Amino acid sequence: MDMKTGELVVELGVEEIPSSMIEDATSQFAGNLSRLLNEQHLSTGEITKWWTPRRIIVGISDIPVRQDDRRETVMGPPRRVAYDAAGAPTRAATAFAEKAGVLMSRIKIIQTQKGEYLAVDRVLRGDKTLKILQTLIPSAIAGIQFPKTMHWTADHFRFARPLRWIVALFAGRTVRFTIADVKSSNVTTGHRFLGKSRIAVDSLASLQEKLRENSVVVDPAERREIIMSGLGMEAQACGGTLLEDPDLLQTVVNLNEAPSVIRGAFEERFLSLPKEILITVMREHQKYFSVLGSSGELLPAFLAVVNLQRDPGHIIRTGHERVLRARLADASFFWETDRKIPLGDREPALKNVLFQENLGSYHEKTRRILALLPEVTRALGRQDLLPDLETAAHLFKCDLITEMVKEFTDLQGVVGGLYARAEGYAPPVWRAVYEQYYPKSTTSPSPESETGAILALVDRLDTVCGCFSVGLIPSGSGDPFAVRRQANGILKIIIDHRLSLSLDHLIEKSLSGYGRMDGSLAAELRGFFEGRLRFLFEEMGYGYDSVNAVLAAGFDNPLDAFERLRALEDLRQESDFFALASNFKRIVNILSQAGEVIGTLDESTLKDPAEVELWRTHSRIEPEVNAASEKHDYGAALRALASMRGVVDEFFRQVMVMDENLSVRRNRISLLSIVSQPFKRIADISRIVIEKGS
Amino acid sequence: MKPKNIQQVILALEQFWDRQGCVLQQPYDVEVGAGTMAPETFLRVLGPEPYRVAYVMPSRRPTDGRYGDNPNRVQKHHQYQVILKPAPRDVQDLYLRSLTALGINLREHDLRFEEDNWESPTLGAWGIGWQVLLDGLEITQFTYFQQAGGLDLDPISAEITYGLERIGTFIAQVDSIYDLRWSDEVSYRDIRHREEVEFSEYNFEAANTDMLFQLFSLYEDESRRLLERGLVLPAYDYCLKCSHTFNLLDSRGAISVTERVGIIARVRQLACEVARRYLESREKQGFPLLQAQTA
Repeated sequence: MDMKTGELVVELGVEEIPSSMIEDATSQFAGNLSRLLNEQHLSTGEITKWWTPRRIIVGISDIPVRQDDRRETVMGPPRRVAYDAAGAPTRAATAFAEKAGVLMSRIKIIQTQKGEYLAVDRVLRGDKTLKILQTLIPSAIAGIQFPKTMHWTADHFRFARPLRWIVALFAGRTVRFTIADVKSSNVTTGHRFLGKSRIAVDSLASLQEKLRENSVVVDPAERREIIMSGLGMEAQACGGTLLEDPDLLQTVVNLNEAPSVIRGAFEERFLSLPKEILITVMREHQKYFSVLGSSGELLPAFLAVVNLQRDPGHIIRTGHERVLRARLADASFFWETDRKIPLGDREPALKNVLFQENLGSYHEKTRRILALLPEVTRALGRQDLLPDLETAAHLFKCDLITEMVKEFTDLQGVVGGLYARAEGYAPPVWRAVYEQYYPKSTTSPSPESETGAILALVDRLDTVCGCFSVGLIPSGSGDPFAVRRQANGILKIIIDHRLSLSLDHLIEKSLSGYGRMDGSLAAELRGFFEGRLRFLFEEMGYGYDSVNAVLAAGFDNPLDAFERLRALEDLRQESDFFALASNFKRIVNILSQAGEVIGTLDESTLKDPAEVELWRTHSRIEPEVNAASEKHDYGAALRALASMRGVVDEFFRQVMVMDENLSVRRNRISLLSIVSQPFKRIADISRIVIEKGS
Repeated sequence: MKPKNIQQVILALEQFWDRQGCVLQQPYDVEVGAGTMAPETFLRVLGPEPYRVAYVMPSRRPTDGRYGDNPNRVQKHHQYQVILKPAPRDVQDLYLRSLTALGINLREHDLRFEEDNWESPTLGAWGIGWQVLLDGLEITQFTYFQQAGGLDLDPISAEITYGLERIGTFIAQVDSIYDLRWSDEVSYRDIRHREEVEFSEYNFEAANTDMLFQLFSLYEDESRRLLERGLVLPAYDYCLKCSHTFNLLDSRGAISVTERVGIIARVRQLACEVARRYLESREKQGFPLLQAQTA
């Protein structure tokens, strides 16, 4: 066997691909390449993934230079039609041999389930990998999916941005193909302004080295380190420390080929603006990092990551400072003029701000929120929060018509909160306004304040139910109103703030705010929330089977479902859990075979000691389980249930459920049904996947 | 040579794009919000005919008026608009060379292409592209048009829209556009400030909204009537007038939420119908510029 292997290197040269897409595109490309290679029976070694805004680079080591030869058996006609009465091959047989390209003497007979057939063994000669790659790489490129694509050539090939050059090398040789009018070659190009435009390479290592000589750092991890150390140094030079911002860091890693960090300053007078506004202006519009002083205050400085290695005359720095000055001057102007009108006075003007085309204005939304708040605070037993929440609800969307939010849309909520604070509203009020859009994602923090949590929850509930009521229901990748994210937010707030609420109740009240009393819509929403809860739990790291078990036992109160899930996960750590689960699975199987005939238990019919013991144990434990469940102490409840394991084992060893005597049989089935009930209320553990050997 | 004022920037761009085979058009004489709306872009990008054009376009955004008080925001700014159809392979390089022609040394500056996809609901048009940032300042919008007037485009045009005031402040290193020189003799303030003051007052306070609503309907009717007669180009003028009238009504705060969506849809309908008829008309003429190219 030919064990020679070679290294594959592909660089897709593109016009600047958006920073949010480039990393995923590279992963997809690497995945496509290795999957397609494996489909071609070619093994793959180490996979390298590098990217810059202008390049998607994948290296795969140790790919055999040719496929192994493969044997295969080709089936022909059935034997009975292949030979005539005299035993001579018929036309069917000779045609098969001809087509297979062999003499009749090479034809054999094989036995199959359908009878005897003619067959021939064939050796498929392996192809050269270099040749396979000529079609494989274009398929791997075409298989990259982007959230938004364009076309630019006559063949209408679609990509995020135009492809402009391709380096494709295998074992040092160029893999030749053309895609979207680009011919592959061994020639790459350097940094736009600091590098040569034509650079020949012959391996992954030479690509990296030669691009480095031409001012391109291809490895994003290396760029991240360069940027991190630059940010640290420059922050220190400003006399402070960096305000860390992982998302912004990833963005600038993906935006630069030759990153370096420069620092700049803004006038101290702008420090009279709230910190949140200064940080947002710098981050969202200019992608600058902020610098904090020793007591956490913002310093009048910024750090910018630029795509050059130096700025000797501070030309770039001066330019950035000028742009920031104009931005901050705008922000100061907005901060001053907006506050001339009290936030609450803007409420009527919300009639002119569209919430959603078919769901009316934000003024109408405010009305619905005001109607929902008493319901939700009552359900939570927190009517004490209602006055502050109502005040906040009148204010909370008013910042949408401030100049500040029109300019810095990402600051919606925050700006309203800051204005409310400046107007002297109490912390529960202004914080609720400030935090209404928290959590921004399932991994970012929920509102800190109780009022913020409730207002954020109610606002999203109204959005989700409203969207469903007008058919804006997420499907596949289509979710223009981000309804999924909104629902995730509701559930995350419920869990983080330990809010005990009924989804059915919330849905019903919210839909009635839209004048909808629609059972099927409510059911659809319930199903949607179940899916979101499953997503959230799995994202939190819980096993999908535990999640299934818990959701099958109900999810109307998501907090309760979460507590059952945690208890179940704890129990899973214990050694005899899987024995318990398999017992329970057995019970569920028996019950499902028995169908609907489960009747009531007749204690007097119990005669086998094992079944009597099961019943006794159950009767003893059930109140314990119920009491623990009442207190949401599902750990104790499950432990009590788990203590029945020995008794259940013994029952199955000693007792034949399917007794010939029908009334005995029915009674035993009823017993099992009763015994299984408490599980079904906490977690249907028959859904736990039991791996062999555990 | 580095341009010293706005008109030298314009001259340098004219020279550069002249050498790239562009028709140097003059600004279109109907109010528009952006150079894209001028027929030389909106209509020329439709259909198979190749075209290269460059022109200055005064662009009116009534809601951006600041009574001449804001250093960077004006209700009328100036775009330098370039259309390259089809987009050549080296279109980004061409653009970068045009910056060099403006005396900008790109080895000393931080230039980047950051995602920004242009979209115009009123024109039924969108494209994929970037904003170009020079030391953090947005100086250009760069777009590969994908659709105009609701029609898929083929071939794809590249649109380069330079913000002339932005480039001017960058080169002159000033904080306010009013400190720019328009020519050696006069400043931007000298010739534009009063216009900003008066038009801001007009846009926000004085415009007669009843009249504007009437005009909108009249323009819309006229555009439809002209479309029925097959007078596509005049019909588009009236479509543009509708669009500007809508912008004025918007800056007067005269349009409610529910109306807004409907009015945009009405303008878009006109624009899409114009686009369709224009394409038919060019086809009937045998796509003259296609012939010119091969001749």
